[in-house]
Amino acid sequence: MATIPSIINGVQVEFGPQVNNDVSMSLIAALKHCIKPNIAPPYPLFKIYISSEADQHVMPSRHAQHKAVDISRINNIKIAIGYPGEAATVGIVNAIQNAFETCPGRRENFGPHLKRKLGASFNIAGHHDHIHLSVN
Amino acid sequence: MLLDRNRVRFALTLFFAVLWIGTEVAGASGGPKLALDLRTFHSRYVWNEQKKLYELRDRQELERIISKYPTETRIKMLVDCMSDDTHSQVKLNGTEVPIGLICYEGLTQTIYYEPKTIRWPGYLRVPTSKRRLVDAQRVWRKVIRSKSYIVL
Repeated sequence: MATIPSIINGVQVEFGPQVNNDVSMSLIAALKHCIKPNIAPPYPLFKIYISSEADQHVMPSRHAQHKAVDISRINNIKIAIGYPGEAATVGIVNAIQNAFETCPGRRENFGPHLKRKLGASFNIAGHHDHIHLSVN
Repeated sequence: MLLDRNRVRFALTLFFAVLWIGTEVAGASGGPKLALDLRTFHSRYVWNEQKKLYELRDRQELERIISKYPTETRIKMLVDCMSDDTHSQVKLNGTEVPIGLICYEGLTQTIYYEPKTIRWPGYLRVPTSKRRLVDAQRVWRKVIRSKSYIVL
């Protein structure tokens, strides 16, 4: 187990007050794959807000297995507010979800842009307001 | 003259007493107080062809209104007013939607909950009904009581 750092590839990471920052190394590697300042040109990514990690969920959730993370704000803007209204939020959210699909070991990729599990479309409620990323 | 003065004094006392009681009643659950604030929110729903659903515009303005209250207070107030079926100033196809729906929109841009079932009554699709709003209020109250929500 490890903790998600407060900076990933130069992007600041803020944590919600309830977050238990204790996740698998493979999840951190996956975040490094898709959290980058230039992930969605011309919109720079400078900050993400993590609302949940290994907390607030019960088995069989990947959160409870320390293998999932929820991102609910991009550059200080709630996804619930900026998606689909703000071009930068939309561009960055879409780019993060698209990049995650190319990540080795990716499992669940749920958000306003995609809802996929192991690369296939997946029917799940919610997730219009945050990105849920998990690994195998 | 003395009689008139007493009448004026009585009328003023009655006026302030009614005003005070009204404020206390509104503040007791919090919901009506926030619902009053939400009556100033002007917006509309627009159809998203790709997602096949109606989406609320001007969420930033809604956030400005609800963020006057601390998060925990706001959550309780928004759940409390979710069954309010008086008209808002938010339109869907030219018709005003109920304040309760705007309370739901405010709540779901403040917190989220991940149910185990895909057909959870706490998630609403627009247009909705009074019965669905009441059902949503009931299940969100359970979520709030068990503190199983996550702040966005």
